[in-house]
Amino acid sequence: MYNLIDKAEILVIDDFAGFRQTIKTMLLRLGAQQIDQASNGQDAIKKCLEKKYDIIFCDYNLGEGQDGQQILEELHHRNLLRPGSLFLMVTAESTRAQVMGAIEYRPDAYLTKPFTGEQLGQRLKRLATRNKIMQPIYDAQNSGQPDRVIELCDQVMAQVPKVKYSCLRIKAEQLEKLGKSAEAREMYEHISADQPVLWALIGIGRIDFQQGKVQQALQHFEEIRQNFSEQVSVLDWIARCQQTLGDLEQAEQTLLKAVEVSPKSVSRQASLGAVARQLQHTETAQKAFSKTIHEGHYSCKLQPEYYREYYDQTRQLAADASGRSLSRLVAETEAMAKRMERKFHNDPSALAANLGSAARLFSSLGKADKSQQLIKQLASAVQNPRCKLDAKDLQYLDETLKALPESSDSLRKTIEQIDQSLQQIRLEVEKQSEISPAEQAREFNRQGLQMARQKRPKEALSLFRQAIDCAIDKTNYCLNAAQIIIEHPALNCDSELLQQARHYLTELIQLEPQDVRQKRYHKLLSALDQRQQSHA
Amino acid sequence: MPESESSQSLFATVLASTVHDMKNSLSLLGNQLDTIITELEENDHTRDCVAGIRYESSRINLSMMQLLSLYKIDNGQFKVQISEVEVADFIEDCVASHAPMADSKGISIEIDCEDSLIWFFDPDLVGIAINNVIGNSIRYTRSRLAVSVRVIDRKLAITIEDDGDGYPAPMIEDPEHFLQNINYSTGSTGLGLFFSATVARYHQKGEASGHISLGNQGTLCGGSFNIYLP
Repeated sequence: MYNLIDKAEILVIDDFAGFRQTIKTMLLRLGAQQIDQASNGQDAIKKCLEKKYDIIFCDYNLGEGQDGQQILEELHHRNLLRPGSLFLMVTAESTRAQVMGAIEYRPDAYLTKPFTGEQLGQRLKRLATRNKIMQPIYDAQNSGQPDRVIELCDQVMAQVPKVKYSCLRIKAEQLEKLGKSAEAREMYEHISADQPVLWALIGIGRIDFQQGKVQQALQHFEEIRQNFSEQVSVLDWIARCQQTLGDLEQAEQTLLKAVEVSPKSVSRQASLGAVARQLQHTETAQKAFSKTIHEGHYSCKLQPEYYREYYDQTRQLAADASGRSLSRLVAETEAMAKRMERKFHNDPSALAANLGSAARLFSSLGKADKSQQLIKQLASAVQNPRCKLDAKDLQYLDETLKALPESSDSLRKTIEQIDQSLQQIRLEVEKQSEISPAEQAREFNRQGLQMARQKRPKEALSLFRQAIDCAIDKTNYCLNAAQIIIEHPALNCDSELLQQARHYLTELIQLEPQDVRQKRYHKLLSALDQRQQSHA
Repeated sequence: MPESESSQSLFATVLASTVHDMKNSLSLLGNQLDTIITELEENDHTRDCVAGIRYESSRINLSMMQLLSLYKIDNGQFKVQISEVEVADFIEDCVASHAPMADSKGISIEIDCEDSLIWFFDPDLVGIAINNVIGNSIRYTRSRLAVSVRVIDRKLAITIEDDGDGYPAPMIEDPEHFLQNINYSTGSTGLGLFFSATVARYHQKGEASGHISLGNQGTLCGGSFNIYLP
């Protein structure tokens, strides 16, 4: 492992320079040579865009801005983590509960402060060994072969009992993905009967929920909560069940508890906002959406429409406010509008979806000038050819514009202009929704063939894949995708891609014996056999 | 009584953040001391001195963690966070943090734990308990220390043995309540044992709960500490 460390590109993320230096010193002593540092999420993402790291140390609590979990999600979302790289979350004892609950994106390991250089060295050594053991499973996961993943999980845990629970977890999740929920549920039951394994307990509830047994799932999650009271993922599930059962009051209470434990999650704050909005708890809703936007400023999870939710709730709050609380709302709104303009200055769709609500809010706050200025910005945003709005956005904008007081002729003219642009966008939306998936698939395939002719095999393959995704009869597109993988030298050197070609041919294609494509099919299959043999 | 509740929770917050701050400082201090120790020559006598400081700083760290946990127990805020633990790795980690001190005193630490053993408990709290015992044993042992792990009656049994003089008799009789009898002549407060016992007791599974025991018939002929977790 010491040769793992001395060649590794390492990134240390911590807001406290002293700790970065400490970890750096430890790593240098362990033989590391390439160590970069970042003090916050933004800086870290920037560094990861420039370079792919082998090992990332990330402190969970980074003060203002993103926390470690958000950074991990962002890196996953932007595909900046190389398979096989290590992400280590550094935590203090006091924050462990809120950190460990992560179900969707998990770090490779948690390191609890304080630790010594020797402990760090041992952990890295163990993780490297573990990764090596698990690698075949990860590979099969990445190349999309669920059956192979399950087979490998069974093999690996029989050989190395130490990784038993990791294998069981991957296997059960794979079964769920394959739609074999009964089998997965049985596994979760079996595992959690033996030991209090949180992910297995959650798995049981998740499957019940997905099968519509919401009441039963809720009861189950409430039981888990008894033993894992601080686990936010359990609270999230309880809120989701309560919401589905229509018990919004309870859902709001649960979410309030969850944001208290872990206030930085963007989607959790947004759920709270939505529930509170439905309950007409304007103050809670406004605060939640404000937090959503604040915490989500650098996050991939920030949806543009959270802004208009915020503006609408603030408008309702302002209707009953006066004096100091009103001036506070005005100041807050002005800051929010500036933040939005900065964030979306290059995104006319996001601006168009939100500027109407912002203008309406300013107008009801008595800021007619600012309101007019925003309407003008809206007019130019909707004229931008890059502006794309969906049916929901369009309806929303229509209603907002109708509710605006038409104070002047020039404003009326601007709004008419906007209406015309919206009409055009609406026509396009309607035209698009008429294209059937089959037609879309044909179009992707046509573009794919064109790319193939232009000797751009990677682009071609990606277009064929898109065709496969939306087509019902996938045969032709699978044949095309398999053929370009097998025949093109830039692609057929990659054993994962070859395995994918096999998946297309053997799992997605079923040809009748008299089908004219039989000959081409078998020719491809034998070429693939040869290719894979020469690899092995 | 909403008022006293809120002042209590304010105190808990202040206490927690103070402990957190002090721990951060101590952890920096500890790491700098580690750097100094590795840079000093093997035969430099200041090396032992620095190792001594290092040892005491890690004891302060542990004591503070215990303080915070015990405060939480008193307030009903104490919760164990059960997670999957690879026991051999866990023990190795505990021992590794004592390596600089043990080396400087010429004490060898042996580990006996089956590599594939997985158990479910709170690794932070049990870690504090174990670290405390190892720290104390380093002080009282002559030359050897052994940490061994078995599964006995569906409980995980972690045993720490030394070749020192062993535990005093009153401690062995009632280790969980030794706290009340602070022995000023030896400086032992029994706080560590009280903490270990509490942590063990909070680990419950079905009908079973954890406990600790002490003895003087260890395989190394010194004291032996056992913690049992269901």
